[in-house]
Amino acid sequence: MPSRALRHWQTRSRKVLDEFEAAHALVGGTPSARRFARQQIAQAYVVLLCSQFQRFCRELHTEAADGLTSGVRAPLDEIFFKALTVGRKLDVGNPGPGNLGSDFSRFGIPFWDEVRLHNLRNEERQRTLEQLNRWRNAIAHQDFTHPALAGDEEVDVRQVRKWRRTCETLAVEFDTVIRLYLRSVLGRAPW
Amino acid sequence: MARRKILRPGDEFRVGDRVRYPLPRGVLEAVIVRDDGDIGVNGRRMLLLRGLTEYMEDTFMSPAEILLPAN
Repeated sequence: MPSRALRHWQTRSRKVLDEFEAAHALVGGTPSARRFARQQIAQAYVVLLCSQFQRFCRELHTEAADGLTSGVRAPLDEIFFKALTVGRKLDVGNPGPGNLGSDFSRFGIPFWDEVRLHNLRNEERQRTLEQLNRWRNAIAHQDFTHPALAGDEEVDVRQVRKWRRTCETLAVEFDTVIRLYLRSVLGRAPW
Repeated sequence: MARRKILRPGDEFRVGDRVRYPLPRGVLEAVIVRDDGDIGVNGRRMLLLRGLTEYMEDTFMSPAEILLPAN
């Protein structure tokens, strides 16, 4: 059974992101006005995609921490739960590979090693996630000087769709990796 | 006819409320900074708190059901 976090991502987040797709398709006006509006929507789409994915990762982390400590006797359960979530990077930072690795490694799992081991294509997806987060920062801070952006200041909505597909795949991969890991530690399904 | 939701312990808390987080010895004063809803195992409601003492200013998650209202 998937986590609540994954179900939220596949329902609520999908609906919100689909509304951006609809808005992008509905833009009218002169060609130049249309181009400008579509670029603004595409940039907002990047930021929204990142924020929705951040929420998914945060919720998965919370659910995993709760599952990991739910069988522990009181008051140790709440002590451990608090320790697993205190000062979490996903509460204030982007869902980049570094922050994800830092937060999920609290469970005692080499997170990205496990994710890459689970599916060899996840190494490429990890790089894509890094790229998405770089673009998110460039847009949010209006600073496009990062060398990896290669001087680009505009984002193509087709690229955003690729990033979205990567996030959709990684969400399922993260859910599976964490569930399998917790099951091995707990000896039962965590949720 | 709309069904009235059965209130659980902690359902009365809202973002911005000051609460007491019970520790094995004493309590930690904290403020609720985010409500993540019923995302815990078995639908436990989860809140993000920020400690209000000089010893604990970081944020951390807590189930709503264990919190106490501030004095």
